[in-house]
Order: sequence, then C-alpha cells, then structure tokens
Amino acid sequence: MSENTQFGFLHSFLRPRILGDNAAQAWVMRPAAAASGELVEMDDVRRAYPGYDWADPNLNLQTFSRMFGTLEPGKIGYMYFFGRGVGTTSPSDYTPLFRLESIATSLATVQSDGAVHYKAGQIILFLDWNTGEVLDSWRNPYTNEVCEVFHYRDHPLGYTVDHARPEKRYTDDRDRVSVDPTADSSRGRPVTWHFRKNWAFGENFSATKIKTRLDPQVWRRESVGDYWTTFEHYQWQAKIEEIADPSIPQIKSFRGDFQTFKPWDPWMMMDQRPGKIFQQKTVMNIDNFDAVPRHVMAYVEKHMAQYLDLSAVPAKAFKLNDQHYQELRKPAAAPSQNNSGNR
Amino acid sequence: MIGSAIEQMSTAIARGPGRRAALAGLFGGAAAMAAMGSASSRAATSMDDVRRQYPNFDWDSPEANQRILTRLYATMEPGKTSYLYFFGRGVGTTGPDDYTPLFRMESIAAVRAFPLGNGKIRYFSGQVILFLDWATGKVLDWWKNPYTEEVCEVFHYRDHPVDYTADPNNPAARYSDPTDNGNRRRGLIWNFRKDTAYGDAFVQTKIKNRLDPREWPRESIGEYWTTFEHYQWQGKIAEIVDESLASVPSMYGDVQTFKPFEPWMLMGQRPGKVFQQKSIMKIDGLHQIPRHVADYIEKNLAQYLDLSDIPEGAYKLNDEHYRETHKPKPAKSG
Repeated sequence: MSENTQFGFLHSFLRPRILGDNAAQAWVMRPAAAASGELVEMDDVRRAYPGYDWADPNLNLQTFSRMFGTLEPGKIGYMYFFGRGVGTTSPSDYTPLFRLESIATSLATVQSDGAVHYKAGQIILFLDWNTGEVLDSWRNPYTNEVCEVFHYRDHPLGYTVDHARPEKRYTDDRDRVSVDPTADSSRGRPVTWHFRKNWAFGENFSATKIKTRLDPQVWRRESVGDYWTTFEHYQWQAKIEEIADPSIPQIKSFRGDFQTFKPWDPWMMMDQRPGKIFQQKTVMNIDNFDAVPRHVMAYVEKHMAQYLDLSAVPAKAFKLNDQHYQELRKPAAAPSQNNSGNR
Repeated sequence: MIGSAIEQMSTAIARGPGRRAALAGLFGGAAAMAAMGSASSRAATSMDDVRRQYPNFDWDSPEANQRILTRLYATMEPGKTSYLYFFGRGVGTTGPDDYTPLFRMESIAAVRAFPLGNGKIRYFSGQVILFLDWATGKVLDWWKNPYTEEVCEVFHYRDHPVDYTADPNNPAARYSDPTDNGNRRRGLIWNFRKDTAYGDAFVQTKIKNRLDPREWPRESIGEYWTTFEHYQWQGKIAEIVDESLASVPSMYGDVQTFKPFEPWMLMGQRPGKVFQQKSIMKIDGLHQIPRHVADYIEKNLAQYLDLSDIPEGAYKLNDEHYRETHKPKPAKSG
C-alpha cells in the first residue's frame, strides 16, 4: 500500500536536515580521479552544479515529484511500473506468484511553503506469471485453491507531503506508522545520494505498519491479521543535469527499481499464514498510455479507468485498496474440499 | 558471483520456443492491434512491434541470446577486458518479518569473452565485492553482527581465477531456473517499454559448500550453498539490434538476490539469507567509482581482477579462498 499513496512513503525519511552521504567519504580524495571529470562524490557534483542544493529538503521533495510525475501546473503525471511477485514464507521459499502491471496518476501542486499537495490514484493488475495475461482467477500455489482476483486500486487520494509537518498517520498514530527501519531515530534519515557515470541514485528504506481494515475476526480468510506490515526499498535514478535544473518540470531520464516485501493480498485467501510477497518493480514516468502493453491498457480502459481519474478527487481523501475490497466483497466461507488442498 | 553472471543467466536461454511464442501472440494479436490503432503510431511494447522495426535481428535463437547477454554484460570483442560494476545493500532475513540492515556493497568484475564459433562463448573472469559500513560507506575491516553482537573480521569477497564456457543449448547443471518447472526450455523473456528492452532471468543455484559444516561449524552455512536470484537488464533497443556494437553502452541492470550468510559473519547454520539489492553498470575504469573504494581495491584486491594468466578450467570461488586463508573458529562455548 505504501507506494500506492505514491508520495506518502516520502514521509518516512524526509526531514528538515537533508545531507548527502558522501560527506563520510570525503576523507579520501584522489586528485587524478577528481581531475577526470567523473562525478562520483557529492563534492564533485557541487562543484559542477553550484546552483543546486542537494541538501534542500524542498528541492528534494520537488525532485521526487518531477521524477514520479510532473510539476507542470495542472498537468497530470503518469507513473508506470511492471514487475513480478514471488511468495516467501521462509528463507528457503521463493514461489512464483504473478506478474504486475501498474499505472498511477498524480496531480502535484507546490504550496507557498514548499510543501507539495497531491491528488492521486493507482491501480495494479495481476497477470499470469508465464503468459502475461491479465488474471480473472488464479490458482494459489500454496493452497491449490482457485481464487477470484481483485486487482488493486487506491482512489481517491488527496494529501500533502511537507517535510516540516509529517502527516500523523505516519508518525503519531500508533496504528499507522511508516519509518525508515535503518535509521537511528524513529523519524527517518537524510536522503542518500550516490553519483555514478553522470547519474544520481537515491534510495529510501521504509517499514510501514498500518491497522488493517479487514478485521481477521470477520475476514478470516482474507485478512493478514491485525496489522498490514511491509519492508520496502525504493531506489530512483536520473541524470544529474536534469535533477540539477529545477526549471524542468518532469525528469524524463527517471527510472526506478523498487523492491518490496508486502503482505498477501486479501483475494489470495492466505488466512493468517506468515509470509510476504517479494515484489520487484521497474518504474518509469510515461507521457501517455502508448508505452503500456495494449492488452493491459485495454483491460484498464474497460474495467478500472475510474481509479485513474483525478477530476473529482477531493483535497483530502485517503481511500486505499482494503477499503474498496471491504465494500465490494463479502467475507469468504471456508474453502470446500474439492477446491483446495494443502501443499 | 557476478563474474560468472553470464553463465548463470544463460540458464534462461531457450533450446526451443518456450514462452516466447505465447507472449508474441498475446501482445501482438490482431484483435489487440485493431483495438488500439496501428503500431507505427505507438511506442514498441511487444515483440511484434520490435520485429517490424528491426526485421533482421534475431531475438530468438539461443546463440543470439548468448551474444546479447555478452554484449550487455561485457563485450564480444575477443579477449578484451571489460569491467562490470555494482553497488548496493545487504539486508539479513531469517523469516518473513525480519529485515536487518547489514552492510553496503561495492563490486567490480573483470570479464574477457572469447566467442568459440559454435554459439558457445568462453569467459575468463574475476570479481571482488567489498563490504562497507551501512551508514558511512567506509570499507569495513571489522563488523558487528547485529544477530549475535559478535565483532567479526571482514573477508571481502573474491572469485578468481574463473574460466568457464557458456553453451546456450546446454546450461550449466549447477544453475537452474526455479520458474520453468525444470524443463530448462524457455527463452529470454523480453519486455519493451518506450525505447528500451528489458530482460530478466530467475536463477536458483545449489553448489556443494567447500566449507564443511563439521569442520567449519561457525563459518559454514551447511552442506550446500543455495540461492534465489533475479537478474534484470535493460538496454536501448536500437543498440541491442546493432551487432556492430560489440558492447551495449546503455546497459543497466538491477539485481535482487537471496544469498547465504558470508562465512566471516559467523552465523553457523542459522537459517536465513542476505537479501541483496544491486545496481549494475559497465565502467571504463576505477575513476568512475568512489575513490575510497578504488583505493582499497588497488591496494588490497587488484590481483583478483587480473585476467592475464587464467589457468584453463579454473573455477576458484570465494569459499575456497576463505578456506585457504582462514582456520576454523572453535564452536562457541555454552
């Protein structure tokens, strides 16, 4: 659910003091290498682009918005990813589950204080591991049960990301916590930038714990338990020269590699079996839907277009997939003998 | 073992049409085309689109796949040394709710390819992986194990010398694709988005561990060294289809692997893996990587990247180096 509030995960590590990690590496400088013109340290980049402040939290926030969407006023940005989902219940279990195709839309507005308000929506389709067909039903390799697929949707979303005032759902509410698990404090750590071959690489680790809306007492087969917990690693990269030019509203060279460990989806009927879906995703921004495989777009246009429509999204809204599931499905009964089996 | 990554990824190369045919039919079917307009007005998103644009390029044969992998990860120029670089993170996982930050990683692999003329390609390779402090990025000499609180002496990873031949029609037995139901007959799967081709391979490795757990009770993870690995690579379509380019300049890879604990971590036979996330690219030299990493490699590990004198058939991996340079630690008392 975390990247599905596309910019919500930023709360876990944005904070007023943002530094590059390469300060720690400044103790070694090799003049010959520095003279080569390669930008591999923060000091190299600062010398090459003295007008851009990589430590400015507002600029970093806007960089994310320029990568994952666009800052052109009133223009909708499209983020797209494709990838795979692999089940893991132990360090020796890696079970292929499905492919993933996702589109997210966002409308970003920079506030006078540097914060950014977003209206957004996202869908994730589940596809057959081998053929890439969009799934209607799916045979669970753990239980052998045939499950009716519920493609993921978050919509409507209206929220503000402000490094100085993190949203309560990611901080104060004990039932909704998203933090960087690798930081010393509970409130994240600076953005880490790496520079290689004229590209800037940034990353974030995020662990989210949210009270699930699907009460395991009611949704015994669908719910993963009282809490929905994740471990997520987001990495993004773009050409340094594009990032360092804030006048460019969208960073075209952006590409992302996301790896996440997320709970089972409710339609998988995993009950409260321990485990996670390891998801690997390749992320990019797109100008239009032509970049998306046709059968995926055909399915989206027919069945899920409303979850990408931002025309009537309120300024404050936060309706996630579990709420949609709760509204559209009823708790499943125990599986019949001829539809399931234990592996 | 990114130095032998080409051998590992060759596991996914087909001897038959495998899944490609199903994908081509699905993505390029007439009904879909009619619904969405002509391909000429759209970006290439299917194999059919790309075949129309580049009708003479062979995406299918195992031999062509082997050449593509070599041009992505190294160079087809016979005997020329190329350098593959990655940086990333290692996170410990002992179960679905454990994700423990361990260290950063910086790695260089040197590779020389020798096309043999029958589709097979012989490779010489060497690789080092440095372990660095998670927070500061300093190269580690010592490391405090977050699972045991023990301070461990770090042994930076090295595979060298390595000489192997990848036969695209006969993948090495030590590697398998866990997703193809054991038939070893699927091809590289390509996804096309915008102007870029994306390929991926899942690889499962099971190798007899040279560190016998009875002799190395604290260092050995058990009888076998087992992994689950996902390799993804990408390159501009226009560069991949241009075979006059011995090496694909735009290559970029992201790799996610679940690998056993390192021997120097002294984890014994505790179940678990190191989840590694890596960003991979080719480099021209050490001037393109962080200076303190280049300095450390030049001073301490340069010999493992030297491919000038590789004995025929050599396949010396990190566990053998560890065994030669260390003695087993006694089991912990109590």
